[in-house]
Amino acid sequence: MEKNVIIRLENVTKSFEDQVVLKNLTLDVEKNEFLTLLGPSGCGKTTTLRLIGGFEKPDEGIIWHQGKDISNVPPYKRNINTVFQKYALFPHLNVFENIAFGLKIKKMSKSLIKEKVEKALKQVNLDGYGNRSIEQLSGGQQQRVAIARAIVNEPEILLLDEPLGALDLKLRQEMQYELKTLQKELGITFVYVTHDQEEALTMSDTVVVMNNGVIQQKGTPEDIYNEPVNAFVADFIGESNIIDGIMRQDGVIEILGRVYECVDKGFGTNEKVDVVVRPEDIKLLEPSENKLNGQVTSCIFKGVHYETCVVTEGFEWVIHNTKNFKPGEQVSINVDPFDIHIMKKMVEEAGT
Amino acid sequence: MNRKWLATPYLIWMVIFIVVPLLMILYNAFTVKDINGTVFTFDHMMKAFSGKYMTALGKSFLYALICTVICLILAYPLALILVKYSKGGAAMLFIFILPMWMNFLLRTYAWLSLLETNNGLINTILRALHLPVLDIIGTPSAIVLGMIYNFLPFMVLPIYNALAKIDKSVMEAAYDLGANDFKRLLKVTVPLSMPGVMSGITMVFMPAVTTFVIPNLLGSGKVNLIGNIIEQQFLMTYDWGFGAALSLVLMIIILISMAVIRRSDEEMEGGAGIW
Repeated sequence: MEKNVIIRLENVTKSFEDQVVLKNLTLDVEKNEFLTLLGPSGCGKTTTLRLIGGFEKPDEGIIWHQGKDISNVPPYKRNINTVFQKYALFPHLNVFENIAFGLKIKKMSKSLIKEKVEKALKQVNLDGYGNRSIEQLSGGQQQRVAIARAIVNEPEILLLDEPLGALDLKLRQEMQYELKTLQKELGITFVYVTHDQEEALTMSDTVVVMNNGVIQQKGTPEDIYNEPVNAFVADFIGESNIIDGIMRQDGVIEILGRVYECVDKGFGTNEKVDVVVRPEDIKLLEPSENKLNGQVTSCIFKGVHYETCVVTEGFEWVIHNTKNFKPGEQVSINVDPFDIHIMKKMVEEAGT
Repeated sequence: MNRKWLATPYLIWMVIFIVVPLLMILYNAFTVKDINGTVFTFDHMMKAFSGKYMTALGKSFLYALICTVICLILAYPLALILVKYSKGGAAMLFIFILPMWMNFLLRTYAWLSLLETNNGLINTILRALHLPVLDIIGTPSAIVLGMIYNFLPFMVLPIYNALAKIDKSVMEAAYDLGANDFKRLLKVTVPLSMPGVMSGITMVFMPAVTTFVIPNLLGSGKVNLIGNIIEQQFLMTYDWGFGAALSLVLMIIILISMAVIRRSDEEMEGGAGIW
């Protein structure tokens, strides 16, 4: 096993009452990386996290932790800590006692516990909150306590299960930066679960997009955004126009009965494919004879840009641009060849 | 909108059935009828604090305490098991509280016939097995046994409810932070279930300390507890004044002991006990 892999899930399958949640999943988590499991609800991301944390046992497959099989090791024997979705703070303990819980279990000396808890409180910007009761804290503060309670144990891996889900937008964005900074400071591995693609792209070194218990794509945020491997990823990460196309030959794609130049190669001749075009990659120009022409159906101001809908031959395009078009206006769709992303058709997996 | 008027029926109920009777007890305890009419007196209270009655009171507290402790020891693990097997647990809990639907007197009579020395079911079985016969009718053991049997569900239910309410993720968090099963029980489960334990203690201790039916039947009237003496004042000697005085003393001592238990719980758990 390579040196840098800290956690490896090998061919892991997990079902709950006949429902297969993870299908033969293999995933490497590297040391000190910020890895995000991203996907819609029910895609198996939380189950993957719980398997790493030890709260679930795999039905099949092995979980390796630095070369050791930990598939059946209980959570309290793993040097891994979790920040739970709803914080799961101990209601009968105050902030200090909550954070000190793990250290007390390890029977550390009182002075050392005090020192470590105070350091952890500083790290999450809650200096001086030790004596507060949990009920006195806001959601954001409770979240920080949950993070402090986990990191004070100096785990090798910190698992975070949608920790920002309950916070408002502004606070969520703040916490995203703080978490990223904290991860760099601590120099430990973060495995983060979210369904929020923006969160995933902002914080992660590696993003793992999951759907139906299967990993769709693993890569850097840039890779995932710019080179999605299939229409699911493209659709899930950012907005996309996904349209049926036929690959005529390398570099030639037919969309809506018209032939365009593109840069993708390696598909079969006349293979049916998904064509993905990002809304910001489309330019709207004057209609002209040999272009794809259409009619503007709506144009909504979104702050940074206008979201314009254009219907051409029955397909509705979503376009982000900076000009305010009027509904009914005739325009033409213009895309540069390298902004046309061609993807293999997804094979719909039959339910097992 | 002011909806305080909705409380009016309850207020009327409380005044008629709680406040007025309490005032009548107070009145009876401190008055005596003589040739001059009704006069104020301390005689009943003085008599209530005399040795014989204090002994009965002490015995009542001791038996109630033993019953409460044993109930707690039996109920806590049972409640833990019931909560752990959440699906079967509800059915088991149902079976457990099923006897509560039967009349209290009937259940106690049932124990009488079970424990009977000559023809009782238990002793018939013991005799058939050539084991020593259990002759406990009329002893404190029978009374405490009867109390435990009758009041155990009142301990199980509140503890079960408190345990069932504990957030599953809090339990997982304890695991996550390195606590094994035993440490988790000690540091998370027990403290979080304290409100249930405290109501269980209250609900078992109070009826146990005042019961007179159980000592009458299972104690064959040989053991006089404070409940029996009060009953006798009202139903046999018709000394309502003294009976009221004894009730008052018992009530005050129960209130004080409950306050002490609650206070010590709050100190232990940092005020986490919500009841």
